[in-house]
Amino acid sequence: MVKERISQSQLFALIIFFQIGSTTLFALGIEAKQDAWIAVFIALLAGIVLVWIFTEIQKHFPHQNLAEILISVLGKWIASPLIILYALSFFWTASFNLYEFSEFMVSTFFFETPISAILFLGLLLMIYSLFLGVEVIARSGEIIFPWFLGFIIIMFLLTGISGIIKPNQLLPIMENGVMPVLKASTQVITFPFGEMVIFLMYWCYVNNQQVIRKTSIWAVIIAGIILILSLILMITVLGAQLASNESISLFKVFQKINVGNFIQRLDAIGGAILFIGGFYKGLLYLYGSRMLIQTLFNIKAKHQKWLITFLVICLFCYILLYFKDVDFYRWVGLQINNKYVYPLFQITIPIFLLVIIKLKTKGKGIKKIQRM
Amino acid sequence: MGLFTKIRKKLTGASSASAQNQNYLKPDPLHPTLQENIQKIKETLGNSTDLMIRKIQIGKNRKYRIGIFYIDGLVDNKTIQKDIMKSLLTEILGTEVEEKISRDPLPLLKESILSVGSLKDIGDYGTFFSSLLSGETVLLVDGCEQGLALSTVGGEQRAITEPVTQTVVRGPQNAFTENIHTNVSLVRRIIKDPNLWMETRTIGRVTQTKVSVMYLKGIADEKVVEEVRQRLDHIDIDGILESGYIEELIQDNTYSPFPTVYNSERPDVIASELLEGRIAILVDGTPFVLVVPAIFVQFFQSAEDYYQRADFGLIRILRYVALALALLGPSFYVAITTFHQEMLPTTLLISLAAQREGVPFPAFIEALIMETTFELLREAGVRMPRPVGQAVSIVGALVIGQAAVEAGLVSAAMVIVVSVTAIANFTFPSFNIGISIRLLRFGLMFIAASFGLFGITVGLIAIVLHLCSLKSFGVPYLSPMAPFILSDQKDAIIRLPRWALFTRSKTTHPRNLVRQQPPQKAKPKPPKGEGS
Repeated sequence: MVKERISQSQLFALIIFFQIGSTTLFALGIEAKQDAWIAVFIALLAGIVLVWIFTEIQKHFPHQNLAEILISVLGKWIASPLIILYALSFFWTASFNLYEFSEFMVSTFFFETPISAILFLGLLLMIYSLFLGVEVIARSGEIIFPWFLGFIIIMFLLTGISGIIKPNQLLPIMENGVMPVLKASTQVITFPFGEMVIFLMYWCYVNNQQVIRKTSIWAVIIAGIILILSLILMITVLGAQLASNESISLFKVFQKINVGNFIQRLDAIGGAILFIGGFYKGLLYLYGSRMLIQTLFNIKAKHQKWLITFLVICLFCYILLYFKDVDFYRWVGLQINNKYVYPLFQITIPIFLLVIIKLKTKGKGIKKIQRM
Repeated sequence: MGLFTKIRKKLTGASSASAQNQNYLKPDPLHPTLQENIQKIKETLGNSTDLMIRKIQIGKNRKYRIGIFYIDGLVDNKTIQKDIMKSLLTEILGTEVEEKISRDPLPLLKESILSVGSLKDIGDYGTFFSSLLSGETVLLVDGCEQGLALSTVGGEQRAITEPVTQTVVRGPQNAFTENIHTNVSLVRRIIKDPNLWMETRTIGRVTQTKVSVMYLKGIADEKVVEEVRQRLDHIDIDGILESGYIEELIQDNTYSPFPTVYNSERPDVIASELLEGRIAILVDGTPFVLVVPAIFVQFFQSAEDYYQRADFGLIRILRYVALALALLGPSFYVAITTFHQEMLPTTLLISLAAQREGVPFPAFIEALIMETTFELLREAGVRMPRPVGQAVSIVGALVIGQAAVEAGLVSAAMVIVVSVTAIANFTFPSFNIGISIRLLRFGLMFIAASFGLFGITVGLIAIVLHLCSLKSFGVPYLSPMAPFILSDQKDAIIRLPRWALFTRSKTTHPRNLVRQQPPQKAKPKPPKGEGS
């Protein structure tokens, strides 16, 4: 079997897609009101530390994915349930991601279209990408990335020259002290920065293992800057109050773009482009979930298509059955995911893992562990 | 799964397919007596009337009988008269050669008598017929089990003309012809390097078509050359009528709208591809020469990009704009008028709405009708006999242009969209990429009618994913974009000045990368100190 390879620039593109992905739909850290951007900034710093931890784990096991790392460190018996849990959590997050984009499409453009139709189209695309494999996904990311980034920057610029920005909406800074900001930032650490844990599934494909940490951290920083910029735009254009009430604030900002009465209402293009980010995010999660299962059960190449088809059909049915409406979805997302699920998988387990690795390698050296 | 395989087997007739060997190609040895041979040959060819047999007697007392066989029309009659007949009949009379001839006629004939450029020995019917039918003259001597095949290939053929499909304003104005020898010579005349290697094989059990693989030794990737050889050797087919046959049989991906083999009828283009380390496959009987490995950007490059000054390379960007228009024009129109009317400025929206007021169809049907009509016209334009061309264009212009709008069947805006799409489609330097874009356009229109801009995005991602998955002889189709190769960007979307193109493209893995002196040296500078 030819081992698939992704390059540094492809990794960079994938990380930015992944980080910006669905986060554009939310006003992150808006509990801190006009200081939301500071909350995101603090979270970004914490996110960099998390990426450092994740890459530190990867560094001990180059060319191994999360499942293989877990098995090498904890042994087959403890690792297997953990791997299944991880696979489920990735699957679960993918379902959230897909639902939010389908719902976004239905609620903004296709009022008459049933959500299952939108979902079906997205999943069709996803199944195709899963068949093609990670190398092709990474390459396509590399192609689409400049368009994606360029478009977002153009949107920001157009918003800027539309004359709808009121900078004093950002004032007063830290109205109620530091605590609300810090509290808001804890939510943002896990979403989106902590989600980088999924890249433990992809770093092993990178052909130059030396650059992983540098590339990832830079990508996260740039994604963070874009997020902060978009937050500042939301707050300055809409005001903190409206930004927190609006379900999709960035979209509302795009709607307000009007340059010379000719370039206006770019929300449709905006929505389509935002979908690209969401698609890649969902795809990376689903692919991660697939690879975990595949590695754990050692599924042969010829059976992989059945695994993919099965996963996608499961996802389709699951999303349709589980999510009743947006409110329910947001409640689960904020109250359960952000408080319990994400911290467990993104912070607790990786830190434990790293500690165990460090303890094990202390006397023996790395190579011995890999053989276990 | 089983059902699909069954259907496929039924369709392709895979179960009953077994190669039937042609009888006459069996290597039966030639008969020693001339009369027997003539009998057998006539029988095999079914007494075909274009088979010419001359029986002559040479030597002292005219006691050696010789049979001369050729196919009328395939040979050059002058050569046969002057270099074969005349030599045999008159020039040996009374010389010492004549006395020796009795001992062993063939080597003598070869060495001292026949004044034909190239000849070869034949010993069996297989080679006999393949030589005879490819235009050689065969000489059989009574009493010998060997014969001679003399190269007398001639006959009528088309002269070298201007290229029809890939025209340029500035640049060489000759194109390949149907004759492979002419085509090879056209390339050799451009590249006069001993490293231009060529190997020829015969493909097609019945047509016996010559197929040549040409490459620059030391620059082309040896692995790709080997891959080409293997794929060509793998072909087992009765006939090759055009290089399209070979293309389909060696391409990487059959179920893709995108071509993964490049073709050109311009010798200069083929020469430049060879210099890039690519491999040319020439097929007898067609002016279109194949080039592998092919990458996506190649189909948007015209020879003229290199002949005009570098600023002209910017025109390539225009072609990519054309690509976007040709691919997305109608689907954008459908998506915006159906789902996203708010994107249009109000005045434009009002004028569009006024136009569409009387149109009975939804935008998608309207677009579909117009696009189909256009495709019909275009197809008619290609297939119809030349003299009726006028009629089609008049009908087309009237029907598509005015009448349809006046009758209220389609809106004027739709006509504009379709025409822009059509014009954009004609700007591609390669015809075959245009076909793929036409196909995909319809798919995108359909998805845009159902899902608007979201659908178009999904469609585009799918196309990009598909393009990324394609490979042409081991080279990623979208290189140098994905995987990104910085040094190859100089000649992909734009073309940098000549002095900057100092290395060959890395995409085709040529070993010998440096093309000319480094840019610092090559960059022209005004002479120093002569300022006035």
